[in-house]
Amino acid sequence: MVKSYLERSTVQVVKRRLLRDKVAQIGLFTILLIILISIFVPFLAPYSPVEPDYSKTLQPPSKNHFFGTDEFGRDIFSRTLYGTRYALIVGLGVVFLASAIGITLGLLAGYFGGITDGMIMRTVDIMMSIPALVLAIALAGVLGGGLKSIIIAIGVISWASLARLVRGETLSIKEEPYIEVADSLGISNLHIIFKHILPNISSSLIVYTTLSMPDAILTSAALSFLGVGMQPPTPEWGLMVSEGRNFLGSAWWISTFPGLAIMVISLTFNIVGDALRDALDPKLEGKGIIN
Amino acid sequence: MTKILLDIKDLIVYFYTEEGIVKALEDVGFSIKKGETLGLVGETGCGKSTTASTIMYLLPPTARVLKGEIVFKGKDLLKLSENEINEIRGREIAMVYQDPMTSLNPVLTVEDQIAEVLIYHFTMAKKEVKERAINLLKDVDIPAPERVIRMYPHELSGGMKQRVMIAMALAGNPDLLILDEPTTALDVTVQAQFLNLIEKLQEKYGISILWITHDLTVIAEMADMVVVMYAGYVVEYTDVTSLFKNSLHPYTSLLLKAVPRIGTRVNDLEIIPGVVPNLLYPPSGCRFHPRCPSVKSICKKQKPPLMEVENNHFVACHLYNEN
Repeated sequence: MVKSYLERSTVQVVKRRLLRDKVAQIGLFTILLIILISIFVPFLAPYSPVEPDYSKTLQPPSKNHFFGTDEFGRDIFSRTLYGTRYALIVGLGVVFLASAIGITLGLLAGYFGGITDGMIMRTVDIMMSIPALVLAIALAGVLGGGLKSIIIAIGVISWASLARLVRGETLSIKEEPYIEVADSLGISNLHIIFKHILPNISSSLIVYTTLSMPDAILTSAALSFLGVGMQPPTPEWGLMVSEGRNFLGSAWWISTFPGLAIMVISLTFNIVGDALRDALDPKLEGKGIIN
Repeated sequence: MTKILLDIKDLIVYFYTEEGIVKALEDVGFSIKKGETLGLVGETGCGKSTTASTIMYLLPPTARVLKGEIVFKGKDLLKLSENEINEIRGREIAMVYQDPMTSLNPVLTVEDQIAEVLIYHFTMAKKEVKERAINLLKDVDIPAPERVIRMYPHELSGGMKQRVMIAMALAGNPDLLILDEPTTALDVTVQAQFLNLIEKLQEKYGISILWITHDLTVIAEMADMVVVMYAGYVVEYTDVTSLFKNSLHPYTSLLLKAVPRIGTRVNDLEIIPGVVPNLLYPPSGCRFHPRCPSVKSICKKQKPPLMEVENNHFVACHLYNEN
């Protein structure tokens, strides 16, 4: 059976555009690498991330310890590798939670309009008017640290802008004639929302969620740095930067390498998000990537 | 006498817009018998599509139904709840929209869109759904339905999309099919095929059709009964033969003269002077009087009632009003 033309076209056009974009290739490769590291880290890390070794405290980077050791003699390289797990889990967890809330509320607000729209969007306005980081600190503090509370805290501060985006897209798709056709055939509202509208806005959602990953990771690092996120001795990057703060003059490597890791992962997701936005843009049809 | 399927009585629909009240439908009434085709004719903005939307109860939020009944199989559709009307939409009354190019969801396959209607209205096994969908595509004369069913709308031509739309509308096995200017977007050869297809389907499924159009040639070909609307009013209501042989309302007569015929020179084509009135400020009395060639003084003051002038031939015009 012949493969559907659109399936071929959209997916393949996007793939072709991504492959033509060198920077995007590097980004995708790095993401793959990060995922592989986080899965196979127990086999990759030369030392335990938490066991102290008081015979080797505060050693500079060397052949045995690529990134040096901290004040407890723990290998910074191993700890940085383990840190990818936390970064990825927080990033994905936040995106998942924020999408679940933001997309659902945005769809409902945009589709039903009226009072539903008013109530949801005023809540969004309130959420947007509160300084996000302050709210996240308060929430994480109340929830008591740990991975789960970080995800909840950051998820709660980031659904609002997604809801706003989804509402806008829903408003424009709602006016399409095929929605009225579905209505005239007796299809229920929920079915129309999730089966007809959601797939039509999925490309902007893919871009948005990819671009919000680094935000989530950065915020979680900030929370840990401020002491309301992950607790020691967890090898979380923000926490590691915070722990090395006192030794910046004598042992710069403790804070620098996890800091670089945060930068690399944020940059990577931003690059891929940008590339996806270009690749999924239907207006660029046939023109290739503008760079 | 065959059973009446749909009976619309004294329907009044206004739109409450920011500019004011648009009097879209005034005292519209007609009925459709089982297996019959009723043509609804009129110029753009005369209330044809509003009538269809009212039957489906898919009016925009600004619209209000002030009066009237839409009796379908003994039930007044205007009194049903949202859930009850959803069971009728697609299952008992289905509508085919004007523009096939935008009426299919671009991200769903043909199968998805037909199957959705089937799954929604019937309990069916997955395999059965697919079989039924393929059969529906066969019914609307789509070649290689097994292949087309996996396609997305942009892979289909306008005529094919139109057929898929009809297959979707037929999926619920409705008793009444509303066609809202279905031939406007098609070129003439495809149009002819389309008319044949509808005739074939009507015979096979025994459905009644409400055919909305401004194309009188289509009406002559397809309709049994005809309702002519002007500015929200029904001006003439009769069977198709009487309408074309013996039109009584001046508007209908002018409309018939405005149809181009083979053999006449193009610059001989008659036009109706003036434009369709703005329904925000409709003319007093008979809404056609500013454009009417046989206007009398009473036309400006009083709205003519729809009266049976000849047997089963209803006209709303003071020319035939003895008093």
